[in-house]
Amino acid sequence: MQVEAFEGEEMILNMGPQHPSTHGVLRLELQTDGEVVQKITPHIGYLHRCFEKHAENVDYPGVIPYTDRMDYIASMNNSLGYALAVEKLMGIEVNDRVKALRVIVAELNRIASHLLSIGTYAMDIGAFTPFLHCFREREKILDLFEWTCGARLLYNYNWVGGLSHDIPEGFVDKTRQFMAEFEPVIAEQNELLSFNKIFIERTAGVGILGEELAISYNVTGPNLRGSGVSWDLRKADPYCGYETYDFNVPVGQGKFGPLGSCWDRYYVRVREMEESLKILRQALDRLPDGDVQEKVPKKVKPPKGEVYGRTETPRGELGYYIVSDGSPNPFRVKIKSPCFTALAVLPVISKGEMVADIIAVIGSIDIVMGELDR
Amino acid sequence: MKSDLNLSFDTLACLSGVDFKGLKGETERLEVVYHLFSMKQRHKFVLKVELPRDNPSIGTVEGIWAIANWHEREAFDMFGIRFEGHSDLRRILCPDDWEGYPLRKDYEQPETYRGMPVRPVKQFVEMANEGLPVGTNPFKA
Repeated sequence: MQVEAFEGEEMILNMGPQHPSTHGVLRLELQTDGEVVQKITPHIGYLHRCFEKHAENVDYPGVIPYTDRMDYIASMNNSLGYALAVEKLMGIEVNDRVKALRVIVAELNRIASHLLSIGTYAMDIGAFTPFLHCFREREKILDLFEWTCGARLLYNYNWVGGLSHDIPEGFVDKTRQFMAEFEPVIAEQNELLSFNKIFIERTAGVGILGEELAISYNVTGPNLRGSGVSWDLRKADPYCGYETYDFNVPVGQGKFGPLGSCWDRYYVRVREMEESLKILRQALDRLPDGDVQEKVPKKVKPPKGEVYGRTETPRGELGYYIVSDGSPNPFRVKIKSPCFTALAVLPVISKGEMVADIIAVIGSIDIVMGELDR
Repeated sequence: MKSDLNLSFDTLACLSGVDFKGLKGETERLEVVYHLFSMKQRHKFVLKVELPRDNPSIGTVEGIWAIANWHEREAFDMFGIRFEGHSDLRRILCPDDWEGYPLRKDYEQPETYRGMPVRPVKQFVEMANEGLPVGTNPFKA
């Protein structure tokens, strides 16, 4: 950047890599004119851990713990996508109990992830209390997971062909108890934050992401739905039997300003938690009997070929492109991260916003740097 | 492909590089794989372009699908594929002054980067397979 070419109040401002509101290690180079941001250049890669290179050096099941460490907020959803992709490559069809349990853990993790996203978003904007409410509820979900597989964040639970453990006795009742306690919290959250006048003023008019722009940047998940596009892979390209569950896809409506604003994206997440509860209720009701390790192969050795598997994680479409050469190690694993595409659109949607509003925009696209940098 | 109403591939879901080297029965080559998807028609298409391993270069698709900008930077970073006409072809995940293209099969990891030792990926994997005693600092071992 040519500093000499600047005029008047223009200056370069570095935000990050260590900054409380960048949700990880992200550096943004802001070119500002007074308070107005003219250009943003994101610098990523601070959390790059050569994930794809590691994956070529371990066997297929060995990749699963690495996938957990990408999006560490929603590990269940990450490993689910990988397990499904490898199963597709090997032609394994899991039984109904495994499918239902995968849906249960994925939706619980989706709620936990959205709670963290909403809570930290509120904190970025300056509201501290909702954060505590969200974390209290999230803690209960983490306790359930700890009880199931021994880990609070990095579960290694979805295996190729099955699950690492069956759920413990009493899990269903405890989950129902959590759901009963959690449902009123959403209403409380709406009262406390969603329809708070200050919060709406801060978020409803900034970071407008139009439909066409979003599709061109392949923005997915709640960010895309916030722009009014009803697109959810659980409906559009169902896996794990999602087609048999009855739930809605919440989309942004532009209630308090232009469609596709930060508030729309935020509120889609709140409503998605309600839908997740719906799915959970149905899954717990129908939970069939069966052996969760029935189809786990002794040696995972897929035939020569390739597969592109995609699932809907809390952050959007997570794709795994796996090339197999018929050996026990994958030949190539490419991860298409939803956060990668969401951050790519950030410079476009936050052009011309105030510096303080950049914080609101970053929080609303809900990125996890572990997944972005891989 | 994007503007044709019957095809309308309006989004690029994934762009990956693959290095086919040291694989029996395959010619040594680089491949760029485009996973295209149509939100309107709900169909997908996989496009593969084969490139030579020496000086691979291909035209950019940044003007068609905006997200290709970052995906192509990643392919450049990892495989050294040059995308002609790209507006900002820099490394994206590795540091700007990193040497070599890490995801190539014949990549040799440098021993140091700016005076700091770099531990080989293979050694990491071996350590993970053996398992270290609790409390061991893997960087001092």
